[in-house]
Amino acid sequence: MIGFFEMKSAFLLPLKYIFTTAVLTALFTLFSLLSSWGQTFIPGEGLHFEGTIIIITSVISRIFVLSAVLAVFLVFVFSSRKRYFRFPGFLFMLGAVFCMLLFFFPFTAGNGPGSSLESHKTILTPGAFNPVEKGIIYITPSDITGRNSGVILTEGEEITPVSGIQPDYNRIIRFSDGRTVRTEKVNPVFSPLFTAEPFLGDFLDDITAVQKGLNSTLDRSRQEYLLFIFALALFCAACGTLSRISRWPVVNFIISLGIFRLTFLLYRVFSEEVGREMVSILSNRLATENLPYFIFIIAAVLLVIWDILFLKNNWKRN
Amino acid sequence: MARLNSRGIFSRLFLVLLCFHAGGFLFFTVRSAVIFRPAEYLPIFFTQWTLINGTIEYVRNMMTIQVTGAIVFFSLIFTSRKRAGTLNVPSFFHSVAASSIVLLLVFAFIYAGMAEGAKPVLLSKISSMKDRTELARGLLEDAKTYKASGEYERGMEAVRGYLRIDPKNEKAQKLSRDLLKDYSNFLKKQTSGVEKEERQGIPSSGYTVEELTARAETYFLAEDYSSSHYFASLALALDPGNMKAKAFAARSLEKLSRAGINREDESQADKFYKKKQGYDALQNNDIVKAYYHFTRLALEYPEDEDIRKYLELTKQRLTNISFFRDEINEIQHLPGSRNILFLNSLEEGHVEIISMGKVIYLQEGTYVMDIEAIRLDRLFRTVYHLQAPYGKVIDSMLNMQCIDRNDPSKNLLPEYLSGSRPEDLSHVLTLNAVPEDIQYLNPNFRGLEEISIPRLWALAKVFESRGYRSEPLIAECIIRAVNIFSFFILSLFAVSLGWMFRPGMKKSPTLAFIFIPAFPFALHYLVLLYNQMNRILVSFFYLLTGFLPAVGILIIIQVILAAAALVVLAGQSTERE
Repeated sequence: MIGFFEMKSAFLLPLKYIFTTAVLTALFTLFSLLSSWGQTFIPGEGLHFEGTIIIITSVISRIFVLSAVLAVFLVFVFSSRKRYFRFPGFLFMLGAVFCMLLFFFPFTAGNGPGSSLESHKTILTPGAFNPVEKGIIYITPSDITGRNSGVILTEGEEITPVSGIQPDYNRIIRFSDGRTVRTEKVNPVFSPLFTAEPFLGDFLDDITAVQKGLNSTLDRSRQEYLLFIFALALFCAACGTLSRISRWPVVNFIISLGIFRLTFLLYRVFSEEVGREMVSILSNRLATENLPYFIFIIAAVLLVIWDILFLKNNWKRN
Repeated sequence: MARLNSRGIFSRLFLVLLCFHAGGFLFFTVRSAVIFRPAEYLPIFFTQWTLINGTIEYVRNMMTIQVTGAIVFFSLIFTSRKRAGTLNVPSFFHSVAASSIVLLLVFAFIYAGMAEGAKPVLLSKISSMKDRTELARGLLEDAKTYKASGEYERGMEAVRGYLRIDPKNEKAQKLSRDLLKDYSNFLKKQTSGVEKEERQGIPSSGYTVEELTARAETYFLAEDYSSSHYFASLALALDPGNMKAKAFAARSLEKLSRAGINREDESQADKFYKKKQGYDALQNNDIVKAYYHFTRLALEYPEDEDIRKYLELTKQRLTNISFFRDEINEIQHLPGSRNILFLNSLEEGHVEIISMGKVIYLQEGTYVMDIEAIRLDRLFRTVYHLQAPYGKVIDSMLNMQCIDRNDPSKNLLPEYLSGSRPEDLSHVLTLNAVPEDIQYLNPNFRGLEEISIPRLWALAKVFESRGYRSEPLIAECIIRAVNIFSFFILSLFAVSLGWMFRPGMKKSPTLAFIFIPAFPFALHYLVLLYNQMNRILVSFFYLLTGFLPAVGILIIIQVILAAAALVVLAGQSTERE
């Protein structure tokens, strides 16, 4: 009977993982959408909910990798007290993460420009100074002059009054005298309210790097994409070791959190910074482009070996 | 059996949290000492900066420290009891934890005080140190320039200014000594030159007695008797027995005394006429003209009481309508707010926008540089558009009449690029924003953290009327209030998490203790993520619904989160592993 429960627990791991990924994706998507809506808010016009369905896939694609990887660590940490067969558990998780990235990531990826809420909308707040790409523009409140007028302040130039402001496409506004100004992607007046702190911002940048890496690999080569997601899935599944690495679960939790953070940092460092160095040294594109995957695989193998050699009741039960 | 009761947990938790907070403060203070940048701050500020910056960083990270302390405490406390041989997992964990809630609340209040009371004050002190560093370094550079150009007095004044900020700086002290030495050498040289001239009785250009006598004769023939007397006297000084020089001196003096009475009358009439001219200018409110006039007269007639009196009166009236260029020269390197831009007026459809390159706040007034102002009418035609290099805020007026003390041709007045204004108003603009608020009116201003909640609230109204949106300020106020709730709620979640992840009861995880210093770094991400989510919620609901509904919604959310934290806490297993 013990074997049945342990097998059941191992089998439940991927189910918990899928559920956790779904919950995290929903949660992060919700907050990303709130942030996007807020950052494109124009006073007096309310929030622009139209086009939400179109952009939702773009938002999901940005946070899916984060949810998929975070879910692995959470499932392992919160299941560390459960008894389950390690090896089946490891294989199930590997399969679940691999399938999740194989089937769901391509579904969310590949949204071309225009699917993002911020990419093309012209955002100007009337009655306020709006930082634009090359200067600042002030638009009068419409009830003051009864027409679309304002002034432009470009660094090093005189203040220029402009009128007949017409929003064009792709964040460009055109004036009656033919002059054009390109606005920011988000509302510069309100976007600082939604901007993450630098410490968290760096992490979000690393996540974006992984997401972009997956996207470009998917576009470039199917085999390479499979290798990438396999390496990532193997590394994530092997991180189950971390949830049992000491007798103090808090430490396991903290180490898991740290490794979760490092996963993204590792990819960016090896794909961008070290990768660039390696290109100049090795002059072998294939070797340098695949470097991050090999790093993930090597790290995963080391974790599995550690588990087999040093952790009690390895590969049988907790 | 000594059971671990509520009071025991309370006192131990207090001690553990205190240790973590002290450790956190120490860490950030040491880190501040390491990252101190002498390029930005004078070395004299090292200790002060280290302590202040350490405190600021500690306050910024108090939540993470608290969460770490609570997790560690609640995951270890019962293990340590087991080691002592008294196995005491309380039968109702939540009842024990409940006593800790009071302590967590106390820490939340301390956090509120530190974050909203101490932090803005400390941040402004850091800004002040940066400003003083900039000022001191500017003064030192000035002192070096003045030394090189031989303006020793000004150099000494500048270096004295530096030494008031950094009195122990050896380089400045040496520069001060060098300047003093150079200045005394300069004075000695001047004095010896004068003495020599006095002793020899000749100008340094060096004429011979014959040449001087010849000049005396030439001037005498040209009926310039005073010049003739002067050169004859110089010749006599060199050669007291020179008969020809004596003759020219005597004859010139005779001619001068004969013409004396008529000349005096003429001079008096001339002086009276000139004084009247200045007085008329003063009466006609042409203060600048009157100033230059009386300045010239004061040089011409230094003994005249009337002239001195009117010059003083003119100067007094001048300070209300203009300022001197040398004031600008002295203060332009001082730190100040940059790239100020605001809507000065929006009345009757007229739009008036003022841009200021730099604003310097001093006790004697607020000085402005690189001014540009534009006023547009209802149809958006330019009423006027001006640029001025300098301005000074005088009684809520921006005065742009920058005058030279002696030379009217060097005066700097606004240049009208288009449009015009009445002549008497052409150099002034009425400011609708007070100088204290102007420093925040920058489209890229990101220093909200330095401003206390009451000041933010007051500034929101200013922003609304000066071409800025008040939403970011009000949202910042709400976010800061929510952070206090977050501190408490996260502490409760940390208690649950610590308890949930307590170790097995067989052995204490001694080796794992070495990982404790790494805890805050990992947990910081969770804390930041939680705060970022709160930030998004606050900002979104505030923009969507306005202040009161947003506050209502956020109170409900915080109550739900607090309740969830308590439920999770109460729901923790009390079974031994």
